[in-house]
Amino acid sequence: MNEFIIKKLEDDIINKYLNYKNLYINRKYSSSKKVIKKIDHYLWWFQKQQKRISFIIEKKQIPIFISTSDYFFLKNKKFIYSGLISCLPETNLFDLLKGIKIQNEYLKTQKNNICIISIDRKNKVLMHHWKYFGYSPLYKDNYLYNSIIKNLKISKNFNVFFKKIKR
Amino acid sequence: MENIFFGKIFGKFKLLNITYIFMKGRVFKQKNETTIPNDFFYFYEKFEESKEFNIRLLEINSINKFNPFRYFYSLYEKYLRYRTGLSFYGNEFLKYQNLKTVYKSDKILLVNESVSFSLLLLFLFLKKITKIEITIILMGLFSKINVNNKYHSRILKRMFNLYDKFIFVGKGEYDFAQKNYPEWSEKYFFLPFSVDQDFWKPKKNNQNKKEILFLGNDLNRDFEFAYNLGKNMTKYSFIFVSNGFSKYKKHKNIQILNSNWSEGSLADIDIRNIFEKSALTIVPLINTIQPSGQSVSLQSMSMNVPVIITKTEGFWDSDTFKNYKNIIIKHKPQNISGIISGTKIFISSASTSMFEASFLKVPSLLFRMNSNQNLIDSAYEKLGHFFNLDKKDLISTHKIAKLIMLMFKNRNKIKKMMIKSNIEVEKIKKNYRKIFKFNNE
Repeated sequence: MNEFIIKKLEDDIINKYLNYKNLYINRKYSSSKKVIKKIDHYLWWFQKQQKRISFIIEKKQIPIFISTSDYFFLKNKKFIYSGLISCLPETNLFDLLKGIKIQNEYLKTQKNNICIISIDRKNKVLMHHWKYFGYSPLYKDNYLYNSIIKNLKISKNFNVFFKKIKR
Repeated sequence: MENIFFGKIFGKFKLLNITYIFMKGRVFKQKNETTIPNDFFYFYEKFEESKEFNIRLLEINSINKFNPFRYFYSLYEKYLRYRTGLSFYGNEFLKYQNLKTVYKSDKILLVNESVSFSLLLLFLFLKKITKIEITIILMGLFSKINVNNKYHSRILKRMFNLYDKFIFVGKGEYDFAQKNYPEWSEKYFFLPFSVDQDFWKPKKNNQNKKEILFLGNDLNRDFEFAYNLGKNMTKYSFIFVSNGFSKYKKHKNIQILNSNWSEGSLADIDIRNIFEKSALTIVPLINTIQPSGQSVSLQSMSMNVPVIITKTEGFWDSDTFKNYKNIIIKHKPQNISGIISGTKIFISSASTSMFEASFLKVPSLLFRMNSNQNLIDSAYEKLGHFFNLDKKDLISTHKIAKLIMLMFKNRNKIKKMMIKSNIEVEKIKKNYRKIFKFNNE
């Protein structure tokens, strides 16, 4: 039996999802460090969450991560902004790398897209590992940089990385 | 209230010359409308009836012939308006007849802060050569004044020093002045705005009231909220009497009537007729210190039409109107299931009725209103209730309204979530039998 499995994210997870998002481990490296209010979360759920593609990564039937993918168009190009939300207050490097690997396997199937990730500069683990997953830094002189930062409301403390998924 | 007005504000005197100065619209109304309420005349007609006073009514916006001095003065005021963003239209008041009347007056009543800004320079001069007592009625002075702006700050101090009495019609603004400008507090009076209850009185007992009414042009009204409410509540019929909706698209269930009180584009009798057919008046507001929505709310209540209004800092009578108090339950259903079964979204406190809603699979938004309603999320979820908020969230009225609309839109999805909920009815039955010792069932 496979130790790690992925599951479809259903609407009935709405309250648990908020609890996960409000875990310190997630807020610490998020652009907004504030605890999210329930009313704001409910509004976001109906307005934004339903537009993104998410799935749950379970280890031994316990949810450990939620993988999120937001799809958007910019300057005639298709983009996916992906993220990972921890479902546990603490995680280990092995699970994290496994979670990223599973997410990348999904992203590989999304042909003809450009994948974007943003990493807090203080997040030393991910700042050392992005290269192993085929990402390259998106530098400020790139013509897409400003549009992406503005569109995704990425904070200045974050570095942006991208990779192209070819046909 | 008239007694307070006659006594406290003007004192006891005989044959005094009293002059009311309005911005515009009163003369037009007096000439063109046969029956008018005296709401915005501030007891003018009472003085007019009395033989003890010589009463005059003047308006700032008067029609004037060309005069070079007035022209240059108008350019100066244009500059003042540009620098301060405040209303300076004193040039329009400058004509011999007006100045003569003002000069002869013993007491002058300026009916709002715009009039007082406009005539500030004139009275700075006049106060030096004649003894006049000047009273201002205020309804939103501090929402217009920015204390961090040096021009505004100077103007405000000049006004406090120059004018003799300040009548606040809103309690919020009166308290604000007492707290922030206590050095002039002896000049402050609080007289809640009142409406003409002889005029604003329902003529017939209309049982067939259907309309939801929005009335007013005040910029502190939340036009967008009102419009979205109307747009999304298609089963209800709305009447918007306002100039604030010109940029919005027309909707089948929203009737928009352009109106400006001072221009008399819709007579007061017409507005009373609209109240006659309205079931509810809504007064959504942007938070401000101005006692916004006061006249419309009082007129509406006087017409027996209930009001829903936003609670703002400038709410005009928080002593009388208490949030969550004096709520009269007009309809108390005996069978809650019967009511809920026809409901698309059930909004309730997280009380016993949530069991009925759960049984009937009605999408719900629950509020934990007291300490007894303290179940954890997963317990509500077992009953199929995935949306539960705290009492304090009720303050965010805009967000709650938006959430209800979104839940309404997604109600089929929420129903599916409820169907999945895993409450075991048999276990509940067992527990009931055990706790209440129903052995024979």
